[in-house]
Amino acid sequence: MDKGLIGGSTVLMLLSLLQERDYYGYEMIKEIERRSNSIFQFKEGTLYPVLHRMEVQGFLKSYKKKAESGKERKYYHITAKGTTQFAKEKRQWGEFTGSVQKVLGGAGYACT
Amino acid sequence: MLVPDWEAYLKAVLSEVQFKYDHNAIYFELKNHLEDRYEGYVEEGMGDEEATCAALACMGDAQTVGRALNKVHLPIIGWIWRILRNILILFIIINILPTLSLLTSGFVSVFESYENQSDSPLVYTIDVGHKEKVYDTTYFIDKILYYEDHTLEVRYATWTNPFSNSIRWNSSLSVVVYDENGEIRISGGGWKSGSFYGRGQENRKQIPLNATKVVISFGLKEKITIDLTEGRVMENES
Repeated sequence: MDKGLIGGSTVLMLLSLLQERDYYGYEMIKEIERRSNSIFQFKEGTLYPVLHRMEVQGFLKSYKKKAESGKERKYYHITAKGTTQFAKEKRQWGEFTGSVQKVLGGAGYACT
Repeated sequence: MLVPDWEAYLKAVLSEVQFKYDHNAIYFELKNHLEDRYEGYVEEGMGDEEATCAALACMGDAQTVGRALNKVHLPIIGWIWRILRNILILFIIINILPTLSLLTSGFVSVFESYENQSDSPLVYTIDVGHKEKVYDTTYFIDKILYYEDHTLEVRYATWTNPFSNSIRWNSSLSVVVYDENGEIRISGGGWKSGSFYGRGQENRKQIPLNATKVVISFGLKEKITIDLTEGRVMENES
């Protein structure tokens, strides 16, 4: 899938995941892969600048915790500000995809 | 686990991040990710080397990742935060230390006991128990003691409102003793401890047994008079 499209919605997907529970980076990637049937595959290293930026913006908080494997992981937790941001981006995304649908539908209609 | 290829990759990423204080955190987060990816691939049946390379390939270009991280880990923000925090810590220490030492010196003196101002035996004591508040300091005149060697001693305590901002002038009392003929001009001395809570003792030498009153002055004009002829508790009735 085109990188630009994923880029715009990465934050939304990450916020959506973190709404459910706290994740560490690798877990998030695995989960996004699983849910999207591996359509979303991006260079994994680029996830971290995005996460760190979200943390600077106050949407996330990170903490260190030992995972079940015994390894220490950096977990991310969504903040109240992040939850608000999620609602906002979700609405925008809905408006965006809805508009695209309308254009597609309208185009289809016009062509027939 | 330490794979040389990863080490080189992580170093390449970090070389792009100017703010050195965040290097450790980034290093471990990315290294953990590589290890997880690698283990995942090995479980899927890949060989060691293949899995190592595949894990690296998944991460993407080190320079790209590093530059993106550098934009978030801005040295300027990091430094401002660090400097502000240090200034704050310094500020707190500068303000708290003297207060603490004053408080402790004040409190320690609570447990200090009075020492008799004279070695000779007591003749009488008078329990005064008089409280006098002068501005932000309360004086408590506890006791008057009289010794066989004609020393008269006044024991008192003071406490000052620690939140008041007045100058803490060292306020020992002025003690003047009278007899029937008027003021007795004699020598003496005293001490006072503590800043917020303190005790003090004043003594006056060569006071005759028949001295009639003590006038204690606080600050500029407040005075109390203690009658020495009443309330004497004689030590030795014989």
